Amino acid sequence: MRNRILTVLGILAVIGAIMYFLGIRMTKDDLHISAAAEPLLCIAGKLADSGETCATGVPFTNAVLMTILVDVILVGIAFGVGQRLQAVPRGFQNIIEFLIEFFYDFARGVDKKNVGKFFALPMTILFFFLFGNMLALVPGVGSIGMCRAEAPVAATEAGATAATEKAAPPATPLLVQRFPAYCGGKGWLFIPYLRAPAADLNVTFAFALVAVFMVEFWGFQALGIGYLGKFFINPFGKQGAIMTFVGILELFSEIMRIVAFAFRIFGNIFGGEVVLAVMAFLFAYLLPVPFYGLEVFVAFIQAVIFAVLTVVFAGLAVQGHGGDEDHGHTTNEAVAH
Amino acid sequence: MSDHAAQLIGMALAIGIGAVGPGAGIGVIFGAAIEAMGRNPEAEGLVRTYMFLGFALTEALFIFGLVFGLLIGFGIL
Amino acid sequence: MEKLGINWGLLIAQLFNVIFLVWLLGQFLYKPILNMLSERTRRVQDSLSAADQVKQQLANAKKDYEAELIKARQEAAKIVTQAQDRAKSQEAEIIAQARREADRIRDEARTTASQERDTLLSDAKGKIAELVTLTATRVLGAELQAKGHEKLIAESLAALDRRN
Repeated sequence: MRNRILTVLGILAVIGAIMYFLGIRMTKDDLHISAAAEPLLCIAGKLADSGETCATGVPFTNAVLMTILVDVILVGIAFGVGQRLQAVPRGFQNIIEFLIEFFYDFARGVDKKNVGKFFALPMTILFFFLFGNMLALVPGVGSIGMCRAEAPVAATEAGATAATEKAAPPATPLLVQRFPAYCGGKGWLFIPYLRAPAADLNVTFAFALVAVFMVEFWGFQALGIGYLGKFFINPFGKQGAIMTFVGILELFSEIMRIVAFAFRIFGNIFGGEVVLAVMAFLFAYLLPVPFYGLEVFVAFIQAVIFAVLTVVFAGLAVQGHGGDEDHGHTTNEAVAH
Repeated sequence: MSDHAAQLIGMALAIGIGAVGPGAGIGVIFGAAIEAMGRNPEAEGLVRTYMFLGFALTEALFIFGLVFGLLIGFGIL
Repeated sequence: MEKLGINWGLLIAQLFNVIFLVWLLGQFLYKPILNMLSERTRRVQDSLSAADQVKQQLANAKKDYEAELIKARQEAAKIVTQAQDRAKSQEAEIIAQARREADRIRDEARTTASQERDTLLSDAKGKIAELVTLTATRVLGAELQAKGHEKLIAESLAALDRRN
């Protein structure tokens, strides 16, 4: 088995090297990086001149398409597995059950009392980003797309795959333009059909907003108005003015959590894609392979991190004052109890 | 100095300096985790879980640097 | 903002997507699966405890059975000894009875025999006396007749012979 895998890898490496030296490789023009998800079409609006954004209307981006795909998969799991449970699990049900039970046990370890209330949100985050990130690594997700002219005259979508229908004059040798994601040089944009949902700030910000909002909501639900006692500390009280400042900082960090959540997973996934693209640019076929393995690991771990941090923050919020027990109690904190 | 040169310098600085702290942090995390595993081999699974948690949290800082470096370098920001 | 791709319409759409997903998965995936997991745990515990119970019962039954067996064996042994005892005592009784019976029979026989002999003797005595008397009378008569002396004796002896 191991020998067979190594043989296949070796053959692929040789083929890759040959293709590389024949000139089928990525050029600097192909290295198109966009932090924003590219709109496939604009709903009730028109594309901007640059072709990268919508001038008016709501863009239907490739990340949205991928989000819908992941949604469909998750809903399919919910109805295919969740509604047809067997007492003796088999096949796919095992995997889903394992994931849910594993994470449930972890969440119960964080907060035994409120785990039933917390559980749905972090588990959904885990599932969504796990499936989204993993699907984004499937070959073809970022490399099959359409070409769009950057020029204002051709601001409509030419619904064609890369490198086939575009009749742009090849300025480069013939072999080079056959590389996937190549649209014939300057003046043309390559728009992939699918994009990792986590590589779109709208998705990550949406999840981060919901997560942080729900954490604060659970905090208020558990501690009442006394939850605010964590952030607004009387400067003339027992704890002193320094703790007031710390409380304000904590409030600020609470808000920064949204940004941290959103940018952490966005950065990891988007950065991973950029790294893969750059590595493919530096030495196609061979150099991206180890980074691909790293990206699989990152895709998994970042989904877990998002979910785990949500659970941990929720556990901290309902417990009250975090690790501040050694600072004594103020009147504000007395209200909380 | 042209705009492009400034961009490239900014990208290099963002990625390079951004890698310093998380690099040291990741070293500390894995060192401490290995030490903990050596001391208490029964807790290996738990330690590994928290090791990767800490690793991911620390690495995220570098990723911020990387992303903003890339954004600067490709002229997006 | 524009360059980073944040679009308010998309953001709000994604927010709704998140809320919808959380609700739907929570309702249709996590709840049934967690219910089933706890149900399965409960069932496994139940069946384990049931198995324990059955094992316990089995062990109890075996113990009971063995105790019963021992008791039965003891009972049997007791019955046998009792029977033996009774048989022994009966035997002794029977023997004693038989002996008594034999004694009685023997005594009876003896008494009868002695009675008979007595009667015989007394009869014989009577006869003898009679005979003696007869003989004597005869003798005396013959003496008196002085003649039939020897004849008389012979006659009476013959009579005796005849009688015996």
